[in-house]
Formats: sequence, structure tokens, C-alpha cells
Amino acid sequence: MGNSSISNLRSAFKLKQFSRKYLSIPYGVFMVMFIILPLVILFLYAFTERKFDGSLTLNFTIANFKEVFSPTNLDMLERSFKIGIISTLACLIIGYPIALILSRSTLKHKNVIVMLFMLPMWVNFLIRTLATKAVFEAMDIKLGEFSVTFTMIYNYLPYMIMPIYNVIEKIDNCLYEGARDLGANEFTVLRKVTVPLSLPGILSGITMVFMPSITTFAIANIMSNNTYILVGDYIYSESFISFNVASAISLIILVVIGISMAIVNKYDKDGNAQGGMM
Amino acid sequence: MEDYIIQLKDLTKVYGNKTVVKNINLDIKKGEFVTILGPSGCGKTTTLRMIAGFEQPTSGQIFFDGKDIAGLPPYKRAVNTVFQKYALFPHLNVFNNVAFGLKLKKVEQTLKDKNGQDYTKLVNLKNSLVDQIIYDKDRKPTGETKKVKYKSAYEYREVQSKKFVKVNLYKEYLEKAKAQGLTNIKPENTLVDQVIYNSDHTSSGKTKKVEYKDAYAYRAEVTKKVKKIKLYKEFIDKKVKNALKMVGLSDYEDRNVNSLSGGQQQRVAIARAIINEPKILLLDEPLGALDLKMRQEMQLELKEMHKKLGITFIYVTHDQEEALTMSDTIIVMRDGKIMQKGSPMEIYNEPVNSYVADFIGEANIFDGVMLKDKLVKFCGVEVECVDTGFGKHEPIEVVIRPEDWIVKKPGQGSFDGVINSSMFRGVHYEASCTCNGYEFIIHSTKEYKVGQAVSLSVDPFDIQIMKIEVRTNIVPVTFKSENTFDLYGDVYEFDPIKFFGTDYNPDDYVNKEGTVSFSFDDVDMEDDEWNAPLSANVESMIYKGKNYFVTLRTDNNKHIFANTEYLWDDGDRIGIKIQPYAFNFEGFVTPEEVKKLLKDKYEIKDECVIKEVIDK
Repeated sequence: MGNSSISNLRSAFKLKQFSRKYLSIPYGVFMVMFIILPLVILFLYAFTERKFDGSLTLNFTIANFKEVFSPTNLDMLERSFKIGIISTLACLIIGYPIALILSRSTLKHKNVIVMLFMLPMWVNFLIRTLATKAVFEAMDIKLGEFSVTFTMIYNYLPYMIMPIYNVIEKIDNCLYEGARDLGANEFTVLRKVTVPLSLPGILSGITMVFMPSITTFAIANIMSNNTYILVGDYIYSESFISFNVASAISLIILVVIGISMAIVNKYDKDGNAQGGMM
Repeated sequence: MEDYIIQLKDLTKVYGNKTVVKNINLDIKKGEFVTILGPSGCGKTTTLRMIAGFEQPTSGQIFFDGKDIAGLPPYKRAVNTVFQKYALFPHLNVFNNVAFGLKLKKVEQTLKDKNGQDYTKLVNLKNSLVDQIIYDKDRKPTGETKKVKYKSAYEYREVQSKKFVKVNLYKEYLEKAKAQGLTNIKPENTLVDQVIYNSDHTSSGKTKKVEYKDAYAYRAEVTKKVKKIKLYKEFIDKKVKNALKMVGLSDYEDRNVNSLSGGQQQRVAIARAIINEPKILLLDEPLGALDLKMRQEMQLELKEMHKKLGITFIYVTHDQEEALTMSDTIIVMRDGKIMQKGSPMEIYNEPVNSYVADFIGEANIFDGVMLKDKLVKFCGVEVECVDTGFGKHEPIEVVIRPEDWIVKKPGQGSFDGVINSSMFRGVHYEASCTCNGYEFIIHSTKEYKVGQAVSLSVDPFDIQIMKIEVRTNIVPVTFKSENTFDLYGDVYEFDPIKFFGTDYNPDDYVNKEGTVSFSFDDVDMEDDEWNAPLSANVESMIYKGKNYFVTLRTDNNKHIFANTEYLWDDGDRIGIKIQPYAFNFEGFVTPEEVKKLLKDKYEIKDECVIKEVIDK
């Protein structure tokens, strides 16, 4: 009698332990279906021979990568990364002072100004880009590298401002006072307190701008009348011709972004980049 | 005069329409441990922040060592602060938190100019004291290293610059110029040389040719070399370790500040503040966030530290026990003004008013009357005292500390009464005794039973007599009709015969402004602020044996005083009703008249109180 009640208890306990684990099953299924499986498929497509109906074969080849590394494609890749880096840096240079000024200002209606910066994000991305194009055309500015870069910066600036603003706003005012008390002038306070403490925000800002600006599609296409092709648009058009080549190039970008994010996150010692992607 | 490190002159701070600090005058001696004591909102922290430089005074001056420092930013003041919230930098470890100020320090250095004249200059610590010896990069062609002593990086740099001037190419240039008959020779630093030979010789003895554009580029290069010197690091290291030792945190250098306990964080904050050897250390309720045991330990340590460092401490707290334990001088503040300044003993034994008496320690406070010199009447009994110089029948307040009561058998003392409560408080018993309807608090090592009849007396020396600051409420009014006036926006009725006699004529006073008074007892406090004409906050309460004396601050920022039987809390919102026909007419207002009235009739000396009444 005693024995059975103990085993009953035990099984009840086990069940209880299991029941908690069961809660994670939906997430596990989700991850397998939408993260791991697509990656496997991507991987398979990238390393297998091309079939004209787009279906998967299992014949190993690296021909897809050879095609990716053709001179014109290398140019395009280089261009994409160049644009990505330039727009990220530009967003940082423009966005940081804005975030700093906004978070430190004592304006009554600060939130309204913050919202104004966010407002373009509420407009549909395509409509916004087409509108930008219309403005460029109206002003008779040649569409090309400049217009593409400008639109990237314009589109992604809020993603840089927001995380930095949030981090700086949380810095306790007494830290600034402490630094000033210890002999720091305003510039030193900025250099030694504000910037280091806002590093998590900067890093997530960089992540949130750099990744989409490399792979974005439609912006380059629209803003250059398809004369200035970036990798996002290339993958899009290639996907109609060969899934295998598109997969190969996606895989390369995946690796390159992975490496660059690893480098960026190395600077974030505490690993507490808020909203960071990696 | 030179003894004072800080002098505040008529210091005032106004935020919006609220005056937080009112005309403070204060001298603090070198090496003193001064505590500014007061409840929250009394202006003590604002005063401290003005000394630190975080706030600019609205008017008045702050003298530091005799020099006016108002307007000087915090980083230029030889003052450091320990903050209540520690304000440690979360991105730096303990070592770097402590070293923060040291690395930014600027020091005066005596240098020699071109003509060999001494001059002083403020230079970064990094560039100044740095290194007693640095190795000269000059090597002889043989490859030998020459060891040269320099006092500082600046000296090193200067010698290098001079050497540079001596570079042959410059001379050659001069000669060429002369030979060509050029007269306008450019100044040394710019002209110089497109190419100069670097003094660094390779060990083989060959001369390395390095190009510098001009003297400035060369000097910049030299500077870089100097910065790499190790001795600066060693200096910082030694200093930081000393400071951490001082606060008892050796071996904590590499710890993350967030991993420390509250007490340890506070110690780091103190180490960080003292590392630059400030002349004054400001402490803004530094122990407020610690638990009792830790607080008591830190109190002793701070006192110890003050002795060791020998600098002035200005300590802000609302904890009277902390103030009494640590300070040489206590400054009691209330409502932006200094109430009393004195040693802990003086403050405790001779409080200047009931507010100070109530705030510091426990006290029996009663209203009383000075019958004549050395004779006072309170709670219905005439008692001998030692105070003289009061007017005849002048109303005063009496303070008797609970431990000063002498408990005797019934009939043998001055106040006969019955014990109505008794509590054991650790070191003593706290008993309350009712005599003539007044409640007396007694601290005694003996226990008295509830219901026991006793008689209390007090040594004349233990009776502290205090002048009364305000005796009645005085407010400005505007007469609206024959029997009404407007008081702070509400209409009250009054008795014209009481005000102006039987032959009053409304034409004489309607639409005129005047001043009326009403006694503390005629003010009723209501729970429901919406039901009363005036709303106010309870600012402070003092128990006077029978009733509470309450200071109220109305929404238009005026003081009204009241006597009440009920206990309220500081900050409570209440409504004020003034009993009809309680008013006395004091005169038609002209500021001078009221001033005179207040001064003569009510003997108010505090200019601020007068100003508050006059300013509508």
C-alpha cells in the first residue's frame, strides 16, 4: 500500500515535470518548420544540380557557387556590402546625435518629436519608396547610386534612432552628475559615460540597419530604375530562373552577415544589446 | 576669515514660483564635519548641490577659500560628492570607477620657458607627474642607450623640441637664405625642414632618415612616445589601491560594481570621491539606502575617515541620530531657512525653537508664559527656571527632555499626575503621565505602574525656554461690503462694530485692503478639502501635551497655523475653515505699516515671514 502510493506520487511528479516540457513543443515545432527546415532546404538547393522545373535533385555540385562568383556578380556583391556599410554608418552618424538630443531634451512634448521621427515607418514601405522616387524625379536628380543610398538611409534611420534613444533615456542622470563632479566636462561626459553606456543601443542599431540594408530588395530596383542592382534584387530575379543559384548566393550572404554580426557582438561584452538580432 | 573654506552669502534658489532656499548665510570652517539636517524638502540637498555646482543659485554668492565660485561648473571645483544613489558607472569595474576622477585630474606644473623663466601651467595628470625617469630615445651612433632624467613628460617634450630646433637642416637653411640675401626668415616652428634626421639611430650606427613635414608633426610624434610611459599607470594603480584600502575594499579592484552589496557600492563611491583629494567632501544622504547595522558601522567609519583625511565634510541627512553621532556642527534647516547652527550638544540641550526641539530627539513641548525673570508658568504650574531677559508675561514655549523629569512621590514635586502608560524601550522605560490635562513623556530607568500617582519636578537648568516666532495668523484681505471681506479668494463675514467701532462707515473701508488676524484656535481642519474654502498641506506638527500645533501651507503658498486635537500626517491634504467672527482688524494695509505691526506687536524678526505675508 505504502509502496504503491509512493510510486503514484513519483509518477505524478514525473508527469508534472513533463507537463512543463510539453509547453515548449509548439515553439520547437515552429523552429523546426520555419527556421531549421528552410535552412536545410536552402543548403540542399545550393549544393545540388539545377533542374528546370525547380524541383530538388540530390546530385552534388558546386556549379551554383561558380555562377555566383562570376565577375559581374562579385561586383554586385561588393556594391551591396558597400551600400550596406555606407548607409549603416550614415544612419549612425545622423541617428546618434538625434537620439542623444531627443533623450536629453527637457521639452514638454518630446514624445511628439520622437513620434515624428517614427512616423514614416507607419507608411507602407513600397509607397514610401515610390514617393521618394517621385520626389527625386520632381527635383530632377539622377536616379542611381546616390538615390539608392539616400533611400536606404531614409528608410532605416528610425531603426538606428530607436534603440539608441531607448538606451540613452535609461541612463540615470546621477551618472552624468557623478562624472561632472569627478572632473569631466560635457565632452568628456559624452565620451566616457554616454557613449560607452549607449553601446548596446548602438550595436542593436547597427544590426537592425546593416542586415536589411544589404539584403533589401525593391529599394535599389525602384530608386535606380533597375540600373543599379543589389543582391536582394538579384536573388529575387534569379529565383525565377534557378532556385539553386539563388540559394547559393543566399547562403553566402548568410555566412557573411553571420561573421560581421559576430564581430559587432564581440564589442558588446555583456551581451545585452537590446533588440540585438544575434 | 581664512579659516573658512565655504561661505554662503544670502544664498537663494527659486524653482518656478517656489523658493527652496531662502537667503542662507553660512560659514564653514576648514576641517569641520558639518551636517545639514532637516526633513525632506527643506532645501538641504539643494544647498549641497549649489556648493557642488549642479545648481546655480538664483541670487547670492558661494565663497570657496575666499573666492566666489558661483558660475563655476562642477568639474572646476575642488569639491567631490558622494551621491545617495552611489552613481557608480556600471560599465566600469571597481578600479576604473575609482580611477575615473584621477585620470581626468589636472595639476599645476612649473615649467621653464624659452628664456629660462619659470611659469606654471595646468596640465593633464597624464602629461605631468607621470614619470620621474624616462628613457631618452636618443641613441648614440654606437648603439648605446643614453639614460636621461626628466621631471615630466612636458620637460621631455620641451627638450625634444629644442633639439629639433638645433637640427642641422635648419642651420643650413639659414645659411642658404643668407647667402641668397633673403632677409625675412620664417619662425622656427613652421619653416623648418622638409626632411629632418630622426634622432633614432639604428643599432648598426646607420642614420635612419625620417620625414616630418614640420616641427609640429615632429613634436606630435614625440608626444605619442611619452604617453606610452608606464610610470603613469603605476601611479594610478598606487593611488586607487590606497583609496580602496581606506574604505576597506582592498582586492576588489576587478569586481563588477553591480555585483557588490549596497554597503560596498557606497564604499566604492566614497573611494572614488576622495581619490582626487578634494578640499571638501559632500555627502548627500549617503547611508540612506543601507540597513540599520550597516548604517551604524558606516557612521563610525566615516567619522574615522574624516579624522584621517583632515578635510571638510558637509553631510546632508534627515536622520537626527546620524547627525548627533558624527558632526562637529549641526545645521538644522526648515523650509529653506537655517533654524539653528551649533554643536550636537547645543542643538540638543538648547534648541532655539519648538521645531528644532521636536526634530532632534524626543521632547516635551508646552506653551507657557514668562511671569518674570527666572519664573515661568506652564501647564498651570509656576516653575523656577534660569532664563532672564523676557518681557513680562511674554508668551514662550518650554522644552523639557523626557530624561530630565525627576519622579517623586505624590505631593513632593511640581506636577501631580497619574501614569497612564508604560513601555519598556531597552535602555529605559518610557512612561506617559497626565498632569492637569497635559501629557508628559518620561524616560526613566525605573518602571512605573499604570495608574500609579506620581509627582514630577524638573531642575531649573533643564528647562529650555524659547521665544515664540509666530503668535497669531496675520493675513491680507480686501473689504467687499459692509460686513464681508475677501481672504485668499473667499468671502468671509465679519463684525463691523468689532472692527471699526459703533460709528463705522462702510464708505471708509469698502474696496480697501486691510490686514486681519485670527488665533490658532479658530482654525478648523477638515478631512474633505473640497468642502472648505481653503485647501492646504500639513507641513509639520508639534505635540504640545494637550494639542498639536500644526503648520499648514495653503495652495497659494502661504502659512496658516492651527491648534488641533487630532493627529495628522505631514503632507496630508486638508481643508481649512476659519470660524466666523474670529477676526481682529489690524489696520489698512500699506507694506510699511504691516511690517511695523508685525515687528512691534508680534515681535517677528524673521524678514522672510514678513515678506511672505506682504507679498500677495
